Amino acid sequence: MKLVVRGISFSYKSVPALENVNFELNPGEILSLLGPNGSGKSTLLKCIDGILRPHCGVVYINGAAASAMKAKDLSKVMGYVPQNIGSSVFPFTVFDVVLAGRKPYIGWNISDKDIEVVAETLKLLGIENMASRHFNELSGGEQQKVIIARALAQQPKILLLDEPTSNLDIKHQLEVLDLIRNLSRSMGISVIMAMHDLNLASRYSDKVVMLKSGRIFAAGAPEVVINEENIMAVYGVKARVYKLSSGKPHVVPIESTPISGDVSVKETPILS
Amino acid sequence: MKSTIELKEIYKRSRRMKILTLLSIFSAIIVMMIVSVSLGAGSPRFIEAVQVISSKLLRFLNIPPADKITETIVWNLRLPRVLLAVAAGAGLAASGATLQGVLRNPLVSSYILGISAAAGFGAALATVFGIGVIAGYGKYLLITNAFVFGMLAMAMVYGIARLRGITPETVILAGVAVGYLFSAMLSLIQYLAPEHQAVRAIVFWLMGGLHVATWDAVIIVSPIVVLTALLMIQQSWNINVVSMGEDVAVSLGVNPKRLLVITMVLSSLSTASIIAFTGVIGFICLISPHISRMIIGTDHRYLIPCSALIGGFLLLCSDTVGRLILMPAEVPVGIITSLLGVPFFLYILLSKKRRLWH
Repeated sequence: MKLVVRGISFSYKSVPALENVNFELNPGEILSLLGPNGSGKSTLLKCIDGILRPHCGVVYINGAAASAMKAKDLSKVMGYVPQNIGSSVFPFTVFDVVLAGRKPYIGWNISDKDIEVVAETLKLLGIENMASRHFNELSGGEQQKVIIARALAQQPKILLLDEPTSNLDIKHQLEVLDLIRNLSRSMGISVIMAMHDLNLASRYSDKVVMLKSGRIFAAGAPEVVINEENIMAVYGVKARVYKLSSGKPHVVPIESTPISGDVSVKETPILS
Repeated sequence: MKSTIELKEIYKRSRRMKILTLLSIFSAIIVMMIVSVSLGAGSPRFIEAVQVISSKLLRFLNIPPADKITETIVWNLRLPRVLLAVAAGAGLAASGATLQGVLRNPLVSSYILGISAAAGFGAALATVFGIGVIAGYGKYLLITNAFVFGMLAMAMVYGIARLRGITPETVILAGVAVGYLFSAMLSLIQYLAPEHQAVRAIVFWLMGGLHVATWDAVIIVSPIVVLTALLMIQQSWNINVVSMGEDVAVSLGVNPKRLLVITMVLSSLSTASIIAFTGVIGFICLISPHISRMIIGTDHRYLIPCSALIGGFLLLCSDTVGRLILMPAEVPVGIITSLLGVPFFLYILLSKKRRLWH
């Protein structure tokens, strides 16, 4: 589904977190949100999913305003994978957690279809052997896969992930991102993920949006946006950016420098 | 590697096991009810108890009635008490399980909203000063007072929590504050009470007991318990999702604030109407959900009914022990639930390797 984000602004109490954020995303595309801690990546994801209500601006899904959709209908097209995953106080089994992703589709009883979707999703992520284990007893990487499975069980057309690789070792990072890319390509799912790792973002994204203090600082293809000047301006980090044989930029950080006070934020670019 | 069909089979088998578990606890309650009826002073034998109950309930079988005394003991004294024990235990435990899930907190009981102190205050007003929300005398004054003040506590918690947005944290803190407020006022009444007799009555009420059980109590409490429990079970899916985290719940189309308010009203209604009759019976509403989580898991579709059954069973057993242990004197059931419950709870807490919560 085509996703259009128009003029989103949000503030916590009086502290502005997002200001006039605009971008568009086509079906099957992967977009990474980049930017330092506190730049508004998570807030933006939550605004898109309606977990937070933006103070102004609209999110359009195939031309329809998301805020005008019923919560239940929205949850059938959009899945969200939160950052802090160990938030379940009580011991749910892996099957129960993934089954919760069917919530938008079920009234009271579970249909055969629901069980089938859960089983298929578990297999897709290679975690079917953990089905009856307790979520809290799994490793960070396994938990990450389980909650991605829950979002996929919603059968969403748009998938939002908040730092999906932050708890994972390098093998699991690649596994999870390969999986997300394959799903995106094969099922036409649009993906937005908040990322800290610039190289993974560069490798897996079709588009990147770089946020600085709640505004879009730069947006476009990874090879355009991920460069030494932008990294310096946004992160305050001196870095070398090499070009890999794939054409994708590769970042090697050199040293942290204090950010100069007034890095002028350019006219907010609009992606299309 | 498991196939989809295998996974489906595993899921269905676990569902069958859960339903079977619920049925077995239910049967255990029925058996325990008859056992309990036939134990105590001037006791009818087990078979006589069965005879009285079946002659009353199944008239078409034309079972010969037992003698008058046996019938009075079984039908007018023991049976209402046993039924009230099951209903009260079930209602308190179902509320506890629901609130623990919604508030995502294993230490929560159905008294978290300050209901017990408020109901106690209401009861004390009636006992000491004869002040009530309805005109009248005697026990109905006390019962309505306890109920109304219990619900008032819930309304206050809601009002206070709303000021900062209804979240588990604000609700729990507001509940604790309201609880302290009412228990201070309760202490004040006890301190000012002109007669010792009245103070003793309040203390006795706060210990909780089922000696007041009559058919009236059963007929009022049971439908409320059953109805609110069913409505809580109806919210199971929402509770499941919310207990996995608020953001996730919203993204799955559930409104956590609305769910919190619904479950607050349901559990208060159930709890306040129970303790209005029985006084404060502690621990059942805290322990039953934990026991049930170990037996049947965290899916609230099964957890809430299981908790209700376990609560009913435990309160019935505790009350039976309380009736018998110092015969002919009676130990209030609130004391027994804690005396028996604490070691039992610690035992399961320490002996199980499986973690109950994070």
